[in-house]
Amino acid sequence: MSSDLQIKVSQMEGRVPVTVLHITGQIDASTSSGLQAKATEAHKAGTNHLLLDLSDVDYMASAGFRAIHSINQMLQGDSQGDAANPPLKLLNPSDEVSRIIKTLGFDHYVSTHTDLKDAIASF
Amino acid sequence: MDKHLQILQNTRLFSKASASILHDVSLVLETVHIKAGDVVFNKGDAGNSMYIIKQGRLRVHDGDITFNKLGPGDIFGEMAVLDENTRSASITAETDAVLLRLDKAPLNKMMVEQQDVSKAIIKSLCHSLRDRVQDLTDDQVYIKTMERELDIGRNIQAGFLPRKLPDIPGWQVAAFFRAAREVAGDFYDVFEVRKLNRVALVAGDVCDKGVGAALFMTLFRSLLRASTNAEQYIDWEHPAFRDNGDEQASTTLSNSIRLTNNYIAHTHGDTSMFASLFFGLLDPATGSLVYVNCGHESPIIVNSGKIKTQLETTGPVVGIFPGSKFNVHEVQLQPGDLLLAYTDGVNEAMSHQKEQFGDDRLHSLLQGNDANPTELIEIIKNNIQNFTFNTGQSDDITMLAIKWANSGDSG
Repeated sequence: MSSDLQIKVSQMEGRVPVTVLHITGQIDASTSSGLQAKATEAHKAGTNHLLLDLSDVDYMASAGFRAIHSINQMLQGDSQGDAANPPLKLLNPSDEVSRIIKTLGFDHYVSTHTDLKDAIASF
Repeated sequence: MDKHLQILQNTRLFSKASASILHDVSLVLETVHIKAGDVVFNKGDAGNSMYIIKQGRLRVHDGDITFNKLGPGDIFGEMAVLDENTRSASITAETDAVLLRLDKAPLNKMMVEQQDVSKAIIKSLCHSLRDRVQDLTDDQVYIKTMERELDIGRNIQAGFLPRKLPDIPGWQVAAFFRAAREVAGDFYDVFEVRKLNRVALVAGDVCDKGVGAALFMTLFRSLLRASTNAEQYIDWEHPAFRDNGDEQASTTLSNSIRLTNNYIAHTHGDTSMFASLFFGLLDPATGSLVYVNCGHESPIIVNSGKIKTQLETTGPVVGIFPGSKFNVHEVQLQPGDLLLAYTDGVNEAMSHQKEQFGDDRLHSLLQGNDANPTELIEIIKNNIQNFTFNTGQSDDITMLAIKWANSGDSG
């Protein structure tokens, strides 16, 4: 059994307001719904730009990538959004998570940053 | 205090209590105000108080799993107070709520001094126990029904894997599949593509787990099969069913994977379900293998115990990115070459110490080992089993191995 996912939420201001979800734990089939629920909550509260801080995520299963795609779709809504500047970005994935992002081809669709300020400014 | 009397009378515990007991209890109640989202106590906490809900709604849960919802007049926390064990579940407020707290010491005092209070509590516990036994019985019936349904699902899903691997003259083929749960998102396939004189080799892993992944596994597998051999299914007597040297294997492969990707992304895109896939078309006569690797673990080609190459990804996962490009690559196999395609249930198998089986262990099993596909799969399977000893299988495990037999090998 995987442990629960801890998610802290903070608000930051770049060119647009950005909600940051600081995630701790493993994102897998049993915890990904928690991430999805938190993102949905933020979206309902008005968030259109989301940064997932993966600094403390040591493992991400395919269910986690499914959640990322689903959250991205939710943020884009019907408009399909601005392809050059997607509404969902990732911060500090581990080497292993970065490797899987690349293997699955998510690197073409979701941008990854290593610095919080740069990430916020990129939205 | 009188304001508590009515709420006490409406609880199962005190509905039959005398006016004097109600009065005495109301004297020792503490009013507690909590906000929506507040945790009253967590599973495992020491139980020093029981609670009566005056206003609001609360949730009985263990993590994400909710057991029950409670409202005005409901009582919770009495078990841990009486048997001095820790809390058996967590309680969280869903709305702002007002609770009446009855602490262990005054409750014990009343139970000693007033027999009616003890009787009322025993009666209430018996009542709860009866309810829970009934719930458990209902649950058992429900679980049995679900198990039967899952069994049917598992059998149907088994029909989406090849019943028998095709005989390919000069080649040895073996496969292994074991689901982590009752049904799985992993799959493999081997089928003939007669119009090309080729054999299709597929290893796939649908994201996530359980029934959802299993449903999509059947979709991915069927689309790949149907689109690769489309002519055969449209018209059984069509010449394309037989040898058609004009069509390029790479075209068939590219069309099939694009059709599958675009169909699922377009029709089921809102589910965000995707699969990583290795899909190759092998010409058994020449050893030519055209393939796409869509976000999948890289299959390994090994010959005489030496790893020759790995077939890295040539495109993204299938089913969520409409219009994706999937580059078709080609590799020339030689006699003695063995191709092993597998899913991440192999290299990510987890030991009791939370260590992954890993690529290095897998590679070391291939190196210096000239086994045939059946033997090799057995070796890998046994090593994973020893590595994960006493740990539940966390992911589906699939392996597909094919070897171009040397002239001395049995074909």
